[in-house]
Amino acid sequence: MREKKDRKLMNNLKKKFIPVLFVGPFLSFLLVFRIAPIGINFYMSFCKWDIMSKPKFIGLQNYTHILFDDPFFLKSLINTFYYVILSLPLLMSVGLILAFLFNRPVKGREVSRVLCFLPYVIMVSAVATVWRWLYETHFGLINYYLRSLGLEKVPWIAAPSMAMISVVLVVLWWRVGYNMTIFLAGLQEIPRTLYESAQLDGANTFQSFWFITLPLLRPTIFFVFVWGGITSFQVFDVVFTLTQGGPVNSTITLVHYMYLKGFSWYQFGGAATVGCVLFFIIFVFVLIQFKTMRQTYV
Amino acid sequence: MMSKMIVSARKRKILSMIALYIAYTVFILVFLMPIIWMFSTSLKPEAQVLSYPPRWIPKSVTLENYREVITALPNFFRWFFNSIVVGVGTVLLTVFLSALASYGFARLRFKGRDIIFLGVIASLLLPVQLTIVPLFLFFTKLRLADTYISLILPSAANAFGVFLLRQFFMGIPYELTDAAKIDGCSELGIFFRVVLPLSRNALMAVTIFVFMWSWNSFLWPLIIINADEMRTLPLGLALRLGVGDVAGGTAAPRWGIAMAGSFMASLPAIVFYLLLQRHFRSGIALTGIKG
Repeated sequence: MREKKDRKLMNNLKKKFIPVLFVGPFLSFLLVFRIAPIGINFYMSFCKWDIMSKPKFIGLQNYTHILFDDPFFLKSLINTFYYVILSLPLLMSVGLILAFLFNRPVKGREVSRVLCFLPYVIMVSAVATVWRWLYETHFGLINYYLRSLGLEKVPWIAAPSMAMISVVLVVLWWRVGYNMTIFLAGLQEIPRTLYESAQLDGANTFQSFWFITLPLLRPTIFFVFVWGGITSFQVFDVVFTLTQGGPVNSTITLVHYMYLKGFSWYQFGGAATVGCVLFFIIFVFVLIQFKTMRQTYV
Repeated sequence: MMSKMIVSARKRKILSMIALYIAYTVFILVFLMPIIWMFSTSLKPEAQVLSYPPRWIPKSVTLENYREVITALPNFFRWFFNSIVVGVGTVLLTVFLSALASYGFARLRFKGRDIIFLGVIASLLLPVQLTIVPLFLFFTKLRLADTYISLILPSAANAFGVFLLRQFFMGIPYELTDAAKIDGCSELGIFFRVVLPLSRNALMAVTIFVFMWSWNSFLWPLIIINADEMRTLPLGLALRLGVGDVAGGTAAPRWGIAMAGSFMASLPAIVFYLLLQRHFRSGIALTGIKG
């Protein structure tokens, strides 16, 4: 009788233990290397901590400092928003257009799809090196062709007014293949029979786009937009390598500023604060997206 | 009347075909041009690099830039090796952990399973930059800066693989796993012998993703690695080959060498991609659909 009870207990324990075996390792890593550091970062944002002394709790001083006393931070904030506003719609619309183009039943569309995605696999440093040359004001390739067409040469990355736009164009070349691929997959999921029956009912191209394609593509567009938004607020490596945040700080982004604060000036508390601000912005962005999506879906 | 309509409809079709082909050509050129330029410049002797008007086909082809990269940057291949070690290590660790966890979330029942999974997905929204400063202090205090471990371990805390694989595992018919259970197979056994072999495509997609992400990772290696011989490839290129650096700081940039280095670094990824491009793009399509 006792043995039966013991065996049942053993079996129960085993049953409870098995999920832990599967899910445990990953969750531990998540906790140790993701969740815990974020909690610590949150706490650090309320501290003053440079590399020499011990951390000192100073409440909201870091926040008030960067928001009200730090024009450099505000510049990075504006630059980041400028970048997102420029790049996100561009990446989405061009990606969508290319997906349409490369979905047409013509020879050569496979090659186009493959090549469209090719820039994506090239590392940021190589991308930056090439484009720094292409963008060179005096002997760069792009200005050479502009001049041979009779146009003025453009100070792509030499002028503060143009620099961010130039960065966005590079990112467009570099990353649009990703969006194109996802949109293409979404387009291909739409059954052809829908278009055929619409055509029988007399719908033209625009109508079938508006009433069939767009609604069915909405989840995909939503995903690309939200994910694209989240990643574009975090922009850093392309700016670091292409323009180093210049000229005249016109391309410094939030993450770049965070890097400088933490690892050039060793203000770890301040860097943590910038990170929290970044998180807050992304959080609000995602919240807005989900709220508006719920409204349109009802 | 009918024949006129048919002819103009055909004319329109031909015109739109021509327009389409023109558009295709333009886009193909736009995507290819910078890469070809990189290669072309890397083959030019230093004197010709700045020649004006710029030439696509070099007047004289030389390999001296490539030789210069190797001699001026003795760590170049070390960087390459580092990136591979970190990439492979990250893939092994991440895929292993994610697959195990995804199986647990997809096929096992336990208390709190769905809430925990929701939390895991929510972690995807947390920007990784929030972890950078604390992790830097953590690894530095443990004297683990400048190590492979510091590059590999944090990358495993990424819920993306779990997200993808769980969807996939949920789609495996229960008849298969039930049959294995009846045969006396343990959960672990089912995982290794039934589910994993069936998930080749999904696993390959996750592998490619994680490897590419690790290969291109920039911010974290920049922060945690200071020793030149431990740098990863993107880092080494940017910091040591950053135009203007090879040949001493603010001197005139040596574009030929910079392009050669960049091309050498990009070639493996390009080849890798062209060979496996179908897997790449179907993997990405998978994320879009599941997302």
